[in-house]
Amino acid sequence: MGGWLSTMAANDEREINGNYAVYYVLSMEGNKMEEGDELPPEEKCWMTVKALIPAHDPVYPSVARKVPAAVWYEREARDMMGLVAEGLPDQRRLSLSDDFPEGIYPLRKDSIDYREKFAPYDVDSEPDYEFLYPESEGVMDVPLGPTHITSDEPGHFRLFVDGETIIDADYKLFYVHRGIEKIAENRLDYDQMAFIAERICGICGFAHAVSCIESSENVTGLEVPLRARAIRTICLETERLHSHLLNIGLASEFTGNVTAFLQMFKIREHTMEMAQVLTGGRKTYGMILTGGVRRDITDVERREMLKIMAKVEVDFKECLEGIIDSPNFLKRLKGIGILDKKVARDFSPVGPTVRGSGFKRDARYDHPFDWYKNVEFKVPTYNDGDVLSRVLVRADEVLESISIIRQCLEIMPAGPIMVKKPFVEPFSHCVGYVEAPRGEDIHWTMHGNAQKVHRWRVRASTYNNWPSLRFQFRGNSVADAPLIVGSLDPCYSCSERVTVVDVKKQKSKIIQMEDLKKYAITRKDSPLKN
Amino acid sequence: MKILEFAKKEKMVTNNFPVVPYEVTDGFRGKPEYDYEKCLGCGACVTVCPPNALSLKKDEERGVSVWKIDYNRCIFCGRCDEVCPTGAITLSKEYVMCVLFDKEDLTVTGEMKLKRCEKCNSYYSTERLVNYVSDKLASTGWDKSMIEEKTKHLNICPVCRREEAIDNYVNQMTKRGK
Repeated sequence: MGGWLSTMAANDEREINGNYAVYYVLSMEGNKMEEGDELPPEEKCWMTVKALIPAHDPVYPSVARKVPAAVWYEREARDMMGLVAEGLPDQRRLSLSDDFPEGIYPLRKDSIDYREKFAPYDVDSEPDYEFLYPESEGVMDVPLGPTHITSDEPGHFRLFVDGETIIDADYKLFYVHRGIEKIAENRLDYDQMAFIAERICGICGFAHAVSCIESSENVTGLEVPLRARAIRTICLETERLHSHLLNIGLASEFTGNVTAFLQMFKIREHTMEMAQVLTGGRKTYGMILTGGVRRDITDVERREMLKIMAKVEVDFKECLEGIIDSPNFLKRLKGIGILDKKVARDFSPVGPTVRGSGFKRDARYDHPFDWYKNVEFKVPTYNDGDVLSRVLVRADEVLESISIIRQCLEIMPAGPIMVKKPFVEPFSHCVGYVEAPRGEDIHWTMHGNAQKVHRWRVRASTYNNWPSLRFQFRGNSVADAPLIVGSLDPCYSCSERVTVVDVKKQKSKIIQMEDLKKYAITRKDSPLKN
Repeated sequence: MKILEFAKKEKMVTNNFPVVPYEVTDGFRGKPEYDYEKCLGCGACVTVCPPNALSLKKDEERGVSVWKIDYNRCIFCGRCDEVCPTGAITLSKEYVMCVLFDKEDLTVTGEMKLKRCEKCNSYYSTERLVNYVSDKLASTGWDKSMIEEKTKHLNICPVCRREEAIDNYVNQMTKRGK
């Protein structure tokens, strides 16, 4: 049929119809295994499949056997709502910590009495997470992580190595689950929602805000003024610029080219300046409300933007040439962390990860939102599926983003930037979708009474990319592991400290991040020896 | 090697920050500055503030209303600036905010005198707000009887106002019934 699983939302609807419900949101866009293998633009759509689950017996058949992409969603539904997927191959916890009490499901409406105060929990008694060990001789496991929360996604990676080669990997994430979905429910109104949605991510905050707000605009069919749409598009692309520049810089840092990293950062600083001209802050935050945007672009600001952008374009091209030119860079990135086309089709990844494997998947192209119908842009794809392809996709997208911003600034219509927000029908639901720098962001919201949110399901882009990471690790050396994780564009700090466990000798050794990084750069004096 | 040639082009991009301040653009959203003289204590900013950095509390013992901004919580969105009727809170270009040891140094408070209800003698609003409303009404250019009609309920609290309205309504209905 050509559907890709975009998100699944479990919902507590006991006060509406006496049941729980799961909503599978599919993006219908065609298989895309070859070029041209996709639905015509007028047939592309979102499809929501709803299933009611009785409240007295919350069990439903798992779809994860047929659609591997659903594994994480169904594990999370079990954690958060207590809905058990029958036949789910992986029954471990996903988002809750291992010492979270049994029988409390945080997203159920009646789960917690807020007047109650919980006693502090003794962390020593936390049970261990069960990693999936491969069964074979002479296998070592190398844990990466999970300390140091400086960025958004710390995680614990367990690499199973035979000598230097990774034969399998498993990981535990969600160490910084903040319960933002719960905060919003029945408490925040739509004007406050955008500001908390921005805090989901430190890099693509604006994409989350747009996605969240558009899910409430789409449900009422609100026509946002054209000028506001153009401004949203400009902000989204500015965000993509600085995110991609950071990632290209980091890719070169991991191959030991620190000069290139700092030069990329220098260029990135100009894009932050662009954000400052646009919004008044160094990031594109605080711009959006339901019904439009809060701040207009004046002619002076428009000219300032064009001036800075011209400089960014020239500098970026020159700097990229310098990076790609170095043989070391190509040698380290080529053929590393290959994401096979078939694996990619099964796990529905998004963003540069899937475009690096030759799929032309882009929410801007498949489901044009905001102002993307009115601008021309290419969707860069590369067929190799390795780390280099992903870096090149990002590099091409930087240039496309500059072209999109330029087009928007040229043909932006005049007019109002805000309209009054309409009444939202209680218990109606809708998706909001945005192509963030790392892929599509989907927010599914069900609206409640009193013009507040009943259930808010956030699916950030990296959530869809994690499950396929395991297949990218296989067959690569330990020194390339940080590079592969980095090519997904999550946070790097997760590999802050490494413990090596030799299963046979029952010995463990702690390696500092510095040593691993040095090894990733020089590839001499393996810290795994001795 | 090309990267080194590129790096050579611009020699120095970092600046001597604390000595030479970083220049921000014109529309920069920095620290919200509070102008006590203009503040009415209406609480519009408190209602819209997304991270609850602003608060307005009644201190019945001293008869004042305490407005407070906590810069630790502020996200510099500028919603308060948008809604303030008198421009008492505006975003400045200031962005360096650090204190030693005491977080309380990053807060600003303003106290405004409360007004008592003429009927039940309880506090209901700040004097400034009531004066502001009556001044505004006076400047509309209506004749005296009209203004008196409009300001009839200005000096009593919402509870008494509601009771009075109900009384009036009941009186009218009973009259009509007769």
